[in-house]
Amino acid sequence: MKLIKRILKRIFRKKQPPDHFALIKEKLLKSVGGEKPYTFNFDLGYTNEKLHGVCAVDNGKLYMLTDSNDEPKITELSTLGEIRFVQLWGCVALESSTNSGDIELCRAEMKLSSVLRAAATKLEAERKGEKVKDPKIERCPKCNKPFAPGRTSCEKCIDKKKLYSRLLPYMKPHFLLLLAAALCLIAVSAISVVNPILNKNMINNYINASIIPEDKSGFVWLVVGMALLGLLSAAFVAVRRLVIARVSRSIIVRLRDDVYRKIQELSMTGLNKRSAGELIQRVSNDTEELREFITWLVPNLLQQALTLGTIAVFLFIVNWRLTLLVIIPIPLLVVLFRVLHRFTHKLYRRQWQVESDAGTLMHDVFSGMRVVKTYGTEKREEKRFDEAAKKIAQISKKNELTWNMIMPFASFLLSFGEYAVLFFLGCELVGDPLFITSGNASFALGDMMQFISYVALMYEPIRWMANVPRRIARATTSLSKIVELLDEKTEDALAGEILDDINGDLEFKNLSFGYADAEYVLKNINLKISNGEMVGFVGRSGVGKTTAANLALGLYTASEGSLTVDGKDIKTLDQHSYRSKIGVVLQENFLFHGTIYSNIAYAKPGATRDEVIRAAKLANAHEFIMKQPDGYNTYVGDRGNTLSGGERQRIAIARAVLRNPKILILDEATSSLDTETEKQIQEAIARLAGGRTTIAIAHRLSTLRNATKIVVFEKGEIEEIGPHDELMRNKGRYYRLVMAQRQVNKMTPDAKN
Amino acid sequence: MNKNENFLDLAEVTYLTAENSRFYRTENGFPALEAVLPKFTDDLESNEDKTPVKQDFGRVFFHRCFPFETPDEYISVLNKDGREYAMIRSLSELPEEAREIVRFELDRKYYCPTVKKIKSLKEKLGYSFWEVETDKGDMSFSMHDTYRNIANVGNGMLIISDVDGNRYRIDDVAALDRKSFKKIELYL
Repeated sequence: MKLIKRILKRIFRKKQPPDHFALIKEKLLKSVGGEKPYTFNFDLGYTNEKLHGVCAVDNGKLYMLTDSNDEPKITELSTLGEIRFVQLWGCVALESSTNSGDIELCRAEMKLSSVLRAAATKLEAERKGEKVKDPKIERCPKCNKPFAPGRTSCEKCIDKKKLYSRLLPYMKPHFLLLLAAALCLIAVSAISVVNPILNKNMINNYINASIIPEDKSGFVWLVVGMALLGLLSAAFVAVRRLVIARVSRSIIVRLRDDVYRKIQELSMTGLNKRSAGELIQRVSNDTEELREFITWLVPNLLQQALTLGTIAVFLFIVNWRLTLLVIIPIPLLVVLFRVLHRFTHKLYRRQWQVESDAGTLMHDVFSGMRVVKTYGTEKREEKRFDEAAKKIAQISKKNELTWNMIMPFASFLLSFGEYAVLFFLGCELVGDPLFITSGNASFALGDMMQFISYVALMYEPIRWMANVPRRIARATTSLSKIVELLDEKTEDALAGEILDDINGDLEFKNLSFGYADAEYVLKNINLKISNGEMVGFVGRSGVGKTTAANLALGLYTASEGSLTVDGKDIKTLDQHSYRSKIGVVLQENFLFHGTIYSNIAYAKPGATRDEVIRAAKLANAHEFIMKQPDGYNTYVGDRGNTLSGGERQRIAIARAVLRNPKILILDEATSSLDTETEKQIQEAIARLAGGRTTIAIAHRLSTLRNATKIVVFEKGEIEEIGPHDELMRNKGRYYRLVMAQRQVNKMTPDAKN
Repeated sequence: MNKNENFLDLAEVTYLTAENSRFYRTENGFPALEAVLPKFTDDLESNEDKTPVKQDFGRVFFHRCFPFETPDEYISVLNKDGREYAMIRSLSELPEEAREIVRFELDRKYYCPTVKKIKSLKEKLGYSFWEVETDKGDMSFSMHDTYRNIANVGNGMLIISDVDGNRYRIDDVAALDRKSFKKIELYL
């Protein structure tokens, strides 16, 4: 039935539904007339009705055609205001304005969001009369679906064969060993086939023979032969396992190293898409799944298939009619097993899900213990956990019950063929031959035993193979996830020039930036920071200060425009050598598990103790470190949780200055320090600032008293820029911020300056 | 300050009612608001004067506070930069005409087809592939990490997020036909 359905479907599929977009595009282009105008699709109407629409831009005009109108709508771009990409909820739109206020140009589902975003940029440039290249949207080469940013494969068009070929490089170096393992497999298969023959001879010639031969030595030899075969088989199995164990270890190490290296090479955009837990999963579980696939599933599958084939041939030779009888139920068995597995798969999957839910719950509560205790919700959490635990118990009880009820009967059904054989052969033996065995006169007890052993031997691989599709599916899933990761673009793909030394002149040129598919966080930033300057970034939270600093760090690449260092585009530089010239201190600084010394020295491998102490002194950290009984050898604990926020920050500052960086980025770097310590560090930094570029982000404006230039950010743009005095005279946003903070400071009598 | 005053009383929420507000459409069909509210100023200027005055705000934007649970209640009315003018406590508190304008715009902003029937649901390589019937017609989409991307909002209502960021809604999963339910059951 299923097969027929599938065939019908395939025939049906050949008549592909007409490509509405292509038809409309064709129609539209006829009326546009220009040579290869820029076009893009959209798929929603004004009130979110599904439709097919195409836009084209030519000669300053925007043409729009959907399947609900015959003539394209033509708009002069010059009559429009700024063309904006608007992110809605589950859909996106392009908006603009005319003399009569805002208008909407078109809208689309999220699938086309990257298309519409690119279109907005293109249209805006076109509107201003600038000539820009048509934006290039990366699409799946097979189904033409636009990729979400950062992705390199389309989930629908993954080619399984290609996927598996990715494993070959891992197997290649072990070719000979794997071949040896395969030979062992063949040998074991062969032995399992030979054994029943010896058995038959023993029964027919000795145990159940009508005339027992005088010479008993043949009998002894048969027994010895069987024992030797058993020993040989054990030896082959042992060799195979040894070989496989060795190969599998080296394969998994290589796979893990590759995945780990790749993760480290990923750009921040690539990393942000995935949680730490997901990456750990890739490195540990998925690689393990693949190792099992290569070293366990594939060889076993080969062995079982081999055994099955050989035995089937043997059976045919012995008695083809009976063999047919044995083979007929096999498809039935396969179907039965698949149904059974789908059923149990469902059961176990649910169990796995509730278990993972309970795990998440525990993780949540244990890491939030302080909140739980302060709000006195222990009882409530207990109850939540109890419910989750009960749910697991309930589901696993049900699962085990079903499993244990079904499995014995399923096994019985599977061995049903053996009973059938027993019945027919038994008829033959007791002298009442049925049609199947008739004509084959020489059927003795030994032959029957041989036959039955073969049938049992044949059913075993079938039983085993019923599990295989599920295991292959699991391995394929792991493989596709790993391949997706391995194929992701790394930041080093753009790497180029290695810098020996830099001056530290930074320049943002018409730079815009947005994370992933969201709206731009920075819009058209133009900013020049020269060597020797200390620039302060101020503004409310969420206006793009930190993003601007991250771009300067080279952690992200500009969506539009560029960022140059000493006149060179940062994209063309070797990121590693560029970053080695930068020191960064953040508000929340990550300390690695280890000692204070190792955390400071992290910035400069091979730093002398003298250098580390100097850096710590500069960061005002030396004093508190000396208060620790173990001094610089003090363990900071998990993520530095044995230290206070201010102490962690000072270690981070020491870490940053140890490098003697040319560019220093301080993102709220002194926010957790008391005013006095902050002042000392500020002065130290100011002394250093001479030959360097410093970017400091601060909410506490007093931190920026040494800044040569203040940049005020607002809504992703630069609102004001200039030295402190000038901005104060202008009485703009900066002036208000300063005034507001002075107001607050008045409350604390000791902070007169 | 009164001793018994609640912290929460210090925060102000202004609700729009039939008395203090009037919604209308701009020339191009966008919703706009005229309301009697304390003078709305640029964030650079501070405004101590809280006496309500009649103002025409022009085009306004809406954002649901609880898009899943109470889509027709607690709707924030914002300017183009996302600053709040006031709130709508419930659409039912507005006069008929205003309600229509707001609902029309909400339907435009929140695009979330309602799934009526699941025709096919298959899993391959960690992705699930759906073919569904919705109130907007037949649709197909793919999901990653399916279990985590189906949010159970309560009362059997599910919100499904696909790989592209589209959302789909199932109003009451228990009210689906048996075949559809069987398909989705695994992910609940």
